[in-house]
Amino acid sequence: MNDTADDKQLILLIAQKDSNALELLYDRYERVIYSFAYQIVKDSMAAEEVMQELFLRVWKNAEQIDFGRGKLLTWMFAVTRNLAIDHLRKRSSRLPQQSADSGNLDMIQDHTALTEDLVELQMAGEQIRDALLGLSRDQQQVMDMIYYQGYTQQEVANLAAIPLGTVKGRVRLAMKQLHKSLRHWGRRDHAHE
Amino acid sequence: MSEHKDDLCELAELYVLGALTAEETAQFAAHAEACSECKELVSEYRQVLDHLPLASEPAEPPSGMKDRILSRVLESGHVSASAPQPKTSLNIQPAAERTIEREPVKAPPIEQGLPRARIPEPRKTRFWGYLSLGLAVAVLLLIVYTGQLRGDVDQLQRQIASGTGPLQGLKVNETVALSPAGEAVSAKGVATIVADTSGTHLVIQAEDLPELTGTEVYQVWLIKGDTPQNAGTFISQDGNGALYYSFDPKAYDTVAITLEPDDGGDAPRGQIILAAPIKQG
Ligand SMILES: [Zn+2]
Repeated sequence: MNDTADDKQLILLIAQKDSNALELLYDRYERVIYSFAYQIVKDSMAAEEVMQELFLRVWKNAEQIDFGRGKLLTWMFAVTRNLAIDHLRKRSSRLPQQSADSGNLDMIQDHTALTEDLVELQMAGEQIRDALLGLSRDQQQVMDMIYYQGYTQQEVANLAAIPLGTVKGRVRLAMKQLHKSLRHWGRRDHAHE
Repeated sequence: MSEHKDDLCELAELYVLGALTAEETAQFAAHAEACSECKELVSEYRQVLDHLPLASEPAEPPSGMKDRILSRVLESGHVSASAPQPKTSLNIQPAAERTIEREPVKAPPIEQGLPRARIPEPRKTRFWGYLSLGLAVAVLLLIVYTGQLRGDVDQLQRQIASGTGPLQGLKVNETVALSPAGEAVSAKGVATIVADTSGTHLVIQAEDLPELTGTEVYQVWLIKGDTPQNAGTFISQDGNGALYYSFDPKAYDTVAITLEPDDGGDAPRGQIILAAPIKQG
């Protein structure tokens, strides 16, 4: 049992209620997950609460978590986003508008495998941040409302006072551009498998 | 669905981002099954989505957070926020969501997630807690798929393994509509029984439930003959509620939801709101 244990090994140990393994997993991903939660909720107490709920779920459900290499982080991110957006909704007393929500994130089994190499994760993060910042302001706006705030296309159209078709168009362009920027290190991720 | 084909193809990005309503999501998912272009787009965009969290600006965790979180998590075996809910096993149960709800509502200025973007302040609207939307969508999709793509078990398995993802080899045994018990009740819902390698699970999703007051909860019962077994409690918000319960496969003939004065009952005390006959195949 040491720092080089991969996620899968850690989860197996956590399933046996090994608190050292939980701590190792926590240490490994504290920063990336906290940063993501904070990006959404913009409040350190709320972000901490999201983190707590996430690790509670890891602790309680570890025996059911059976991901291939690199997928644990993807799953943790997806749960983090759901929890954080829930938090926003409660805070602003937002109507759910029967949104499919980030729920469909959870539903999909074939998540991408993220690298478990922290340096690579950091590099990937910088790259995608650059790609986001490279989007037009309009594209950033719709992506932000949808991705970080959990609004539906219709809500975005209402709130930003733009036609629905425009929302779709901006999201489409934004996603295409982001996908393009991911391509080359996407391949590198696969090389690990 | 074919007349809307092109319209639906336009929804791939929004689907992956979760920006569709539950209904649109179900429609798109059904469409994408038959549309190879959409299928490919979805898998491309999912890559983007899965990497997006990494784009967050690095934020400094508050001091002492690690100790607080680890100690609370490790103590969680004793101090559970959940109602006496027997052996629930997925993270999509409403009880888990409640731990966050108790937070007093603060409203710090909503900044925007993306650096440099400027977005209008979200409009205040009616409160509606999310009990477990992933679950709701899973059940909805389940119905759609049972109706339209009967036999496509693989797809079902992927779609219903919501919430945690880890469920493997899920098998849908039965979905039944819950009927209101009595004229005065306008509630409706569905009960789904699914089996996977970890056991048999009951998924309840209900809406238009009567408002709860005080300590009242909704309680779910699996009934064999005259013997009800407690399958856990949930609370509703704006009439919506959901529950996930794992149990040993056994023959039950009825599933029922009652309105109980509190969450401490081992036998039904209150009125039945919804019920349906079940049989496990
Ligand atoms: Zn299509």
